[in-house]
Amino acid sequence: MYRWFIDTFSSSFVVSLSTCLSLFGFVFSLYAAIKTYKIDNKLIKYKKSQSFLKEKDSIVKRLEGYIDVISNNDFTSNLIPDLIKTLSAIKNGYNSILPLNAKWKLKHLLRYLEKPYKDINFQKMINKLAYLLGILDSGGFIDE
Amino acid sequence: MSKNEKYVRFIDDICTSTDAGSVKWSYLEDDDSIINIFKKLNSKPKYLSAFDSLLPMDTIEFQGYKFKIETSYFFKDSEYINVLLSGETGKLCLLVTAGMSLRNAVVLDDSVYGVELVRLLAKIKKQFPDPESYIDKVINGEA
Repeated sequence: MYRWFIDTFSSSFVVSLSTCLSLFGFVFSLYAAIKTYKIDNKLIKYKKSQSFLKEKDSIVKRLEGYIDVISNNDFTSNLIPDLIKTLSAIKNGYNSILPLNAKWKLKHLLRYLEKPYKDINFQKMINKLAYLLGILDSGGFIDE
Repeated sequence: MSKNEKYVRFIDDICTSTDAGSVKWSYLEDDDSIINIFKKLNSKPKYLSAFDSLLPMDTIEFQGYKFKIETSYFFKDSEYINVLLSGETGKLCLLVTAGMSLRNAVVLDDSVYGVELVRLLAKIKKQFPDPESYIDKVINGEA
């Protein structure tokens, strides 16, 4: 009886211990996988923003150029695709590190450029471009 | 005059000539010979030539950046050529001034001359038909 009790107890103990260990192993590997994914994701975002930071000078100069062109009434609808390209470059490169206000301004600006050309208010556009330029030029990013 | 000031003045002079119409720009895609020179300049060693096919047909690579042929412009002035390359990402504007072989080219980058290059791009685009202003004219009965 005593022997039977010991055998049963030890085998069920081993079973439950191994179950516990495998469960712990599973949870731990899941935790490690999530942690690695998060670090990888952060690293990718960081590398992406760093490569775009290198192009910051080009983007800042171009924004200055567009403001200059609009102010001198040299802006034509033919230039809209180029302006969209510049703004998309900001969106793709900086969106994760832009302050919320600037993100909204950028989103509005891109939507604004979808309007019919004759409905575009150029003064409004200059203001929005100048705001973005200020953010990029001063380096007022978050988590940079 | 510093080199920087010289180049700014150069771009400004081209802007003025473009505005006055004394310089006529053409689409780069209209001149296969220039496109071929760009492609030849960027050709890789034979063992890497398989990677050439990865570059889309409408794109040229210059100084490590990719530029769209259809949105790039050029004009020839005696034995020199000026090419305004326009890309999708990275460098969006680059003015290349060189002899016809495109060797020893002076490359004006938009990270330094961005303001002047956007101004030049605006002047160049004014030389080509602007469908939006045509539509506005038709609507207003001016066409």
